[in-house]
Amino acid sequence: MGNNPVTGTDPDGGWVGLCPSCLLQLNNLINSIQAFALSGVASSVLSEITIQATRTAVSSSFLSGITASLSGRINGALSFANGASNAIQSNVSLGLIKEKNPYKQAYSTDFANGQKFGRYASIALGTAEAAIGEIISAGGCTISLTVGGAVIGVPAVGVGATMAGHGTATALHALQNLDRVHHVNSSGAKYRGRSKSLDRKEIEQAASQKGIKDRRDFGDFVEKTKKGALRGNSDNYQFKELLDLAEEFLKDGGH
Amino acid sequence: MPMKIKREHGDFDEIVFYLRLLDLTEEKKNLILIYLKNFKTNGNKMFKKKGFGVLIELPQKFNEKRLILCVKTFNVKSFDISVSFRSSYDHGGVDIPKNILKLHKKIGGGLGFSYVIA
Repeated sequence: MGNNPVTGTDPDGGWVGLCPSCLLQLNNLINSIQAFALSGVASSVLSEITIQATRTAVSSSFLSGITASLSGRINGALSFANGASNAIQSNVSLGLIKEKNPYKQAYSTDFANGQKFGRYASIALGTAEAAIGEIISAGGCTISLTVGGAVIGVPAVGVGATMAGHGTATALHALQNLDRVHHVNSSGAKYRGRSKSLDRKEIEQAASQKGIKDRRDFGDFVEKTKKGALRGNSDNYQFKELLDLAEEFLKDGGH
Repeated sequence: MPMKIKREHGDFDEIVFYLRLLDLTEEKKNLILIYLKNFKTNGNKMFKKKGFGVLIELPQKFNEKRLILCVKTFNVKSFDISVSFRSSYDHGGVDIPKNILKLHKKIGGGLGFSYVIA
């Protein structure tokens, strides 16, 4: 504490109270007292109470965890299916039905994954449709050549050609969608589409999904929580974690 | 208290400097929290790691001697200075204050940034 009048130095950096070495010694003393006390009969009674309390707490939290987990999985699976259906509809209609914004859905990650699955499924559907169309076209030609029935043969060729055309277009549309999302997510330099800005504004998206009006306060809350949890500077939150934080923010009185 | 930089539309950029002492035992963490009671501190388990850590908020004026002594006496091997930057603007800059630079020069360790634009 303060300067030493004899040596004129400040041995503990202006410390008011116990010095660090004193603290270490005091801590060792407390440890030895605790060890002595814990060897007594009282310690066994205390430990029994602790075990019972822990068991009760574990069983209740286990049950609530299972319920929450099941409900989350079911909703996630439904959202995945909706996403897949949305992407297929969009590709089959060649863009007439637009793909929905995944971040406006309740389970955005599952919905986005569903859409991705739907795009791949659309490519498969389109390719199959094109192949069947080609076969019908070829069949139509054969019929018209062998039987000579232009009434039968020409419509078959027409249907086949339309199917092939639509199938190819569906597959191409799905490929373009996949390509756009892939480029936006990986580099972001080539395409300046809708997904890029959404990917980057996660705090705004999380706040909007949970009905938080004060984004600034929520941003502060996220940063403080990150620091308080001793996460590394680059240990960034994933979108799902941000949604959890948004709920926590609202519970703490945020608005 | 965070350092505030005034911006054009009545907002502020807020900057907080932290010294993070990492990979500590629980005992050492508790002792450090007692030792640095004059600072705003937060001790917690480390994210995805077994050890404990202490987060020390660095005010605009502080006694760096005590922090240096703390790092040396408690033999803390893993530590860094973390700069937390919050802004409503999508552009901005930060000047590191002299006392923070002085502390970093004396104790060494890493220097990291964490930011929120909201």
